[in-house]
Amino acid sequence: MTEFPETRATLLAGVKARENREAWEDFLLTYRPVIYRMARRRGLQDADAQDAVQNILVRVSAAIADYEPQPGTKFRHWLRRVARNAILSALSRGPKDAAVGGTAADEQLQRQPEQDDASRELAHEHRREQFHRAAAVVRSDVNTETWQAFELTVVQGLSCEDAAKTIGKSVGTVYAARSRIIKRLREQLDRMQELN
Amino acid sequence: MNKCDLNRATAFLQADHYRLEDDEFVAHLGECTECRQYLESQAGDAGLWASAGELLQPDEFDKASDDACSTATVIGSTGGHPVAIQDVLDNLAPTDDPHKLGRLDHYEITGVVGVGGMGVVLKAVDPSLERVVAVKVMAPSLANNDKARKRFSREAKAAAAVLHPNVVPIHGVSAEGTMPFLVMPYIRGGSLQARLEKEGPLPLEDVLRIGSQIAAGLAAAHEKGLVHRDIKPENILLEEGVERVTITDFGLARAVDDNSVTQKGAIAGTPMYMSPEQARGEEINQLSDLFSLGSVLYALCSGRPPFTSDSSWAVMRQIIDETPAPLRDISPEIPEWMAGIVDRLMSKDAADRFATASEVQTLLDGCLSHLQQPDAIALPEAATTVSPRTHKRTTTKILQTGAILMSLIALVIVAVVAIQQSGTDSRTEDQTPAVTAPDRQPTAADRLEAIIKQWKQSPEDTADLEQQLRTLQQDLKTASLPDTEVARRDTAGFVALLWPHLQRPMPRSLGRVLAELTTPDTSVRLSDAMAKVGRPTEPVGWESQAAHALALGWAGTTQQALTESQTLEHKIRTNVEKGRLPDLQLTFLGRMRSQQSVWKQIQLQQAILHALAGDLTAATDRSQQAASGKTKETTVDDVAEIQKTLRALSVIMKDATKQREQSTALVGEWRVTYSEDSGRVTPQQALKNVRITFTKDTMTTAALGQNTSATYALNAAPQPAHIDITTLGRTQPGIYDLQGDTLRICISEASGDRPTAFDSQLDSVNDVVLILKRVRETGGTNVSMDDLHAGPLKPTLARTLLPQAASISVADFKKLSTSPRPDAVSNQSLSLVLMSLDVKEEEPDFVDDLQFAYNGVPKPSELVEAMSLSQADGYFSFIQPSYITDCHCQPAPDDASRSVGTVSFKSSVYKATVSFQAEKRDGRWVICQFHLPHRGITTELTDNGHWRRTTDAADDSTDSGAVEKSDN
Repeated sequence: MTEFPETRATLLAGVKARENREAWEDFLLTYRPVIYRMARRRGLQDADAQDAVQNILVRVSAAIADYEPQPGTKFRHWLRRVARNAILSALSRGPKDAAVGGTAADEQLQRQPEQDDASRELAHEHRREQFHRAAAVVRSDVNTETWQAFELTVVQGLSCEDAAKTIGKSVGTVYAARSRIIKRLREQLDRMQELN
Repeated sequence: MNKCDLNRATAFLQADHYRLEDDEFVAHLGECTECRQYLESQAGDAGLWASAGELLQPDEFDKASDDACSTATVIGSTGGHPVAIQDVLDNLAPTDDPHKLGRLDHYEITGVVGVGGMGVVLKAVDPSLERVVAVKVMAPSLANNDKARKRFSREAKAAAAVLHPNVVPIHGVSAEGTMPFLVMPYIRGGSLQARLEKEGPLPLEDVLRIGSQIAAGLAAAHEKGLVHRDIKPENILLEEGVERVTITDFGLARAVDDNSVTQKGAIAGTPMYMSPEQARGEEINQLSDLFSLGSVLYALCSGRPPFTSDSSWAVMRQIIDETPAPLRDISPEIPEWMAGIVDRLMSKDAADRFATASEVQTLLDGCLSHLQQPDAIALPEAATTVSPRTHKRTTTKILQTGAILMSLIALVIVAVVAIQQSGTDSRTEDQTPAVTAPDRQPTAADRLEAIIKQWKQSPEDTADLEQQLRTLQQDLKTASLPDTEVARRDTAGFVALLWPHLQRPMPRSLGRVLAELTTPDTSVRLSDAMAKVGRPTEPVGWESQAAHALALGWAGTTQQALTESQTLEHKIRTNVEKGRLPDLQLTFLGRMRSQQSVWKQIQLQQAILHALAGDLTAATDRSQQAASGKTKETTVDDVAEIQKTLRALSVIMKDATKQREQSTALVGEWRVTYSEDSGRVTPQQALKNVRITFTKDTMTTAALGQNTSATYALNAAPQPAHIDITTLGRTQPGIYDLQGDTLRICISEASGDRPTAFDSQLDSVNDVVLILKRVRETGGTNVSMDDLHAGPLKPTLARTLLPQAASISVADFKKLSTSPRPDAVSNQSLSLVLMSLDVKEEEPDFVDDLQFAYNGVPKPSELVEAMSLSQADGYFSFIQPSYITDCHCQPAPDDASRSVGTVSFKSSVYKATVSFQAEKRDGRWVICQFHLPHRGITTELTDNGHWRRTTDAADDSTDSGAVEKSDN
């Protein structure tokens, strides 16, 4: 997709402080795929899902204008809360105007379980994205076979013996390689966590 | 490993950044469940293992979301980076964003686009302007090289001066800093090379459109006095969705009048698209780019580069000597005019090409219009008149059809048979089958055949022969025959080539006609045709040149013949200079340069060139022809000269044989026993599993489970012998030395200059030095290092051990980089601290090198900085091999298991001479003591592997406190 740099300029317009900018950029990188996937899971086609991503992000960025730094709150944390609300309200089914004949409270009650599910889904997707990002970094850092040893066994569930045969290395090498990957993955995730 | 050592598992996990492989432990893991479990628990808890397995599961949205949202794919797909990339990435400033690779100035690096000759191209975000850019970074290893740095900043200057839609603009440049870089727009869409690989030959319309834009961009650059020097499909970018082509990578571009950096003769550029003048290392101008443009168009039309071979050297020979396969042979759909344009761009002689890039642009534009509206717009005149140049040697070719080629081949058979017969029985009438097809006008070949037949019948009637040839020539010129220009030249060429078989002088009148008709490059095809009918003639350019010269010689136009022959002689001389030939007595060629012996001279030149090409039979044949000299009077002097020549020739032949033997000398498998890259020594541990395998022309390095392939070419003649190693189209000149089973190689990494010596002297910082030991099936492992350690300590070994002794472990390096005091680190680093202590007394220029301005113990940060410059795999050393200028050692007088020696360093690093002692521990030499006489300081290696420092005089204690303690 080529829209990435152009739209980002728009989305960035409201963010002034440098550290906030970084947080926002980082946020975009993580949440774009998260929202996109959640939208797709709800049956939206590619283009619609991208629209949804765009709408939600624009809504979040508009909220940034209202952000006022407060002692004890980090922009990152505030952003995640705002985003979470925007995502859940946009992607939960049961649009507000469809709640004919019910009170707002009823509607809220009906939507609650769904929101809980979506909330869990969001948390899961967020974590998943972080794993993928960490994995991309680790992967770029190791040689192909080391990565394969990990992917075949840990992700694809092959036995170490079979994986060893597939990549033509010893069983010991497969064990060694996948442990190294896990260790690096852990370090990478820690590093990402520190930022938040 | 008999019992399980759990610490080893921990150490193994920690070591992974530094590629230290513990093979034994890995093997053990294959069997021991306990160690596996322990290792896995140390790597991460069970939850993490489970989450990784679950969360990294790909699902149906992954591909789409990657495309839609992620930039991670840029780095995710590359796997291991080549060294240059890693080198650059290691030097990036850290970024807060784990998703990015790092930061360079204010640019956030998001991915790697590619690697070029000078450095690495990164994809980055320019946060201030919110745009994606491409940042071309000069490799840090190159940035040390002053010449390379100059070239880089020149590139920036050159490219920034050109403002044109078809030339990639330069946004910004940073020439200072450890990694100079320049910033360009990031162009989505990829290179022409990528498209070529994906799609093969392009439609003619696209070829013209792309070609015209390249020509337009070149015209703009040429106007500024620039020569791109490296036009090739990789350097042509295609913008996505837009029909725009941009030229990038002025990496080798240079101002024509700027000789200061790119030395004349230093060949730079990817060989496949080079011009002949570039390949010859000559001065080049804008016309060189036109040749490269021609080569690119050739590749676009045919789907492959015009010249390909296994080695760059061979490619360059082809570029100089050979004509590429005719485009229309590869694809008959290509119109003649297109093939003609490409051929003209690719004229060997720059003067035969188009005059300017804008002329080419106009022409290609015109052709494009014609193609789009064939009825309304006529083909430009320049494209219809294929050989309009007045220059006598126009190299534009129209391509022969298969039928003509066939008849030519038939003709050769006929003519050869006929001539052989005329040699033995000159008057026998032997009818040859006619090739003429009944219902068509006779072709030039038919006519020529008839002429030869007639000539055979009455060889004395040369006047008639000449008349017939003239008529033939005239008919061909006026196109009244169904033949092409090629056929015309070919027929004449045949006569020229076949005449010597008659062993009688050629009448001057006939010679003149032939000379006019023959041109060097038609004869190439002749040789081709002859090869096809079973004559082992090599279709190389010099042959045709020789044929042309011979024809001129017969024609009596001696002056021209001599010029041609001088060109041949020049080729021979070039080969002598390049070391491909022993220094021959070439003077005989000069002395034979008289009207009487031009023919002989050329025969001899051909003999030499044949010998060079490795065809000894042909060489002998030629030299005998020269000696027999039946066509001319042979003087006593001539005989003497010829004998001398034959003697010289036998030397060449011997050498050629030797070279052939030499070319297989490296074949086999090798272990690396020593490796030094830009002054950094790779620790033995890391070399353990590296294997290099040479075949006849490839060199494959297997390390860490990855294979890297290169091609190589040897030249054993010069001293030291030359080796050229080509990886990814880039050739590095080097030298090698083979003694028994030990091979030493020294390659120039960056400068492009061939190294002159194998050692790590001052000027070789940018070189790679390898010492290899042949792997024999029967032999054990580690023979070579054991060999080195077996006898008394030799300076070679000491040079390796000294940097190691003054090194610091990775763990200590980390500690040092955070600890406020160097004494917090243990063991070997103390010797390092020691080595750095005295620097403060030295003259100011050390500061340039190491920045030790601190009085007394250097600050940890300074140490860290100094050592990080020297980061080798696995350890950091303050003393680098390249710092050592002198090293002597001898056995200790009283103890054979000890050696004493002295070592001196580059004055900018450390001015004094340091003495050292080494002793054998477990059969291996270990540096066990350093002594700094002028400071009265000694450090000794204690039994626990730590260094203890003592001062000779009790009063020297001002700065020792910080480093006295050696325990941890």
